[in-house]
Amino acid sequence: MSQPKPRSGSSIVITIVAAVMAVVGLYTIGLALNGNLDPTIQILYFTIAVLAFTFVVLSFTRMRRGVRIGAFTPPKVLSVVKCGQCSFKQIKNFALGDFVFKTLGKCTQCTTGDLSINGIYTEGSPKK
Amino acid sequence: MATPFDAILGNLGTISQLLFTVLFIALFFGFGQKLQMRQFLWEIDKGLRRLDMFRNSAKDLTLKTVKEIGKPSTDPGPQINVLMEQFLISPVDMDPAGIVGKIDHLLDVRDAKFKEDVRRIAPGADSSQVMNLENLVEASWALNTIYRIIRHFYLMGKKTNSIFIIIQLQALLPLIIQEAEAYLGAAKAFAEGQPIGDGIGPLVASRLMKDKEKRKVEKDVVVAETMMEDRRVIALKAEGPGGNVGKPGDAIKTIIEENVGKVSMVVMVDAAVKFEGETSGEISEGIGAAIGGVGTERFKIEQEATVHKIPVYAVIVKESIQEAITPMKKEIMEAGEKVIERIKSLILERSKPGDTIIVAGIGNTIGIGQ
Ligand SMILES: [Zn+2]
Repeated sequence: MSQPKPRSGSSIVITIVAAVMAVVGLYTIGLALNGNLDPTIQILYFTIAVLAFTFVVLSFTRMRRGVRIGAFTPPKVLSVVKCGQCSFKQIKNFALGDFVFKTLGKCTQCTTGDLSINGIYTEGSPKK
Repeated sequence: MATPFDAILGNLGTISQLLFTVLFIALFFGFGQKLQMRQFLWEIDKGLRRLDMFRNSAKDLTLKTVKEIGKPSTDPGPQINVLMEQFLISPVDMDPAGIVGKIDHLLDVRDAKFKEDVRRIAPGADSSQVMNLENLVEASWALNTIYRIIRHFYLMGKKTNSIFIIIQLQALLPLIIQEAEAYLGAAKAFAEGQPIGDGIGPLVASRLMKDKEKRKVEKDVVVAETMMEDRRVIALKAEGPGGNVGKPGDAIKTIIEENVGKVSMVVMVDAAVKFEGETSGEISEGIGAAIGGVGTERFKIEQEATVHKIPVYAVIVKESIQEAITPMKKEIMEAGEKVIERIKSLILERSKPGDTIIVAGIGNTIGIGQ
């Protein structure tokens, strides 16, 4: 998922909040590891630390996805040219004005059959 | 002497504990929702800018194509802007008797006006190019409308600070963007006159019609007769290669009446929306009139079939909404041959030699001649 656009305001603020949360997490971890504390308070600090780190992790994974702003690439369209008489078959790029069953003059191979467009299609793009 | 400072210092543990508890509660319960709402709003804003980009590129493409093909003497910009804001008021449905005819009439008027407008904007375009331009303008119209609606709800959500509007919008946005992207793809296909996935029905019909004598019935529908397994097959499709869906309902009705009801079956070939996870180009068989749109054409077919007790079968090719309006994928084109095989076996099973069968290719025939 390409993302050529620069990160917008939302990402910057989230980064700042995440940084604050990281500091909070580290600080509470430090407090919790301070041995001479009431165990309940220790648990509270641990909980805060875990939640703070969870926020940090979530906000970063969230930023990775988000709304994709990829450039739109039109698919490559091909025309299949076939001869009505012989087995001549050619695949060329779609040209403006092409349509299915448009005749394109005489066949170059057997010189008697009429060439016509038998189908127009696009190969599926690899993404998705 | 104990200063207040000492008191604070002495109770640092308790104070920091209190502070963190308050911070914790504020962040995760009170402020959390606000924060999330902000984030959603930013996401919607981003999506909205993307939709704006889509609609602008579709509009630019329309302008460029109109200028290239239509060779207008004046700037078509203002007139295209007027078309972009066009609307249709659907008839009152409190007393629904006869509403199909009303809707049909409205759509006819809209169609005629649209075509007339496009022809005036692009005097240099031939009839099939006018059709394509009309489709192109419609795709830009759709993108413009999507943008306007999303912007409306975004601003509403912002103004009223309603998290429910914002959450709904945020949840739907990826789907809407996907659809808008498909419309942009459709606009490109329409501008160049390339067949789209929805054209599989007309493609199948045109393969049946190949090298046969064609005639026009009803509005923009062509018909040709062919033999298949000793049965008389009447194939019909919208007249191509301009972008057009025609009025197959009226055409089927006319053909049935021409044959004084002596039609043993109607087979409709159409593209149908697949479920996520299904393979594109897969074929499925069913019963009933396979035709999308507002429902007026389906109504006519169902009614006529009921009057004459003609069974209607449907052969559909599965594809996603995106595939249906963007250039035709190879696997969908190749499904056309399999559809013809399916029609053959259906005819063999459900009719006798000498019977008359209607095969209707439903869909937009852009880029597909006959
Ligand atoms: Zn040849």
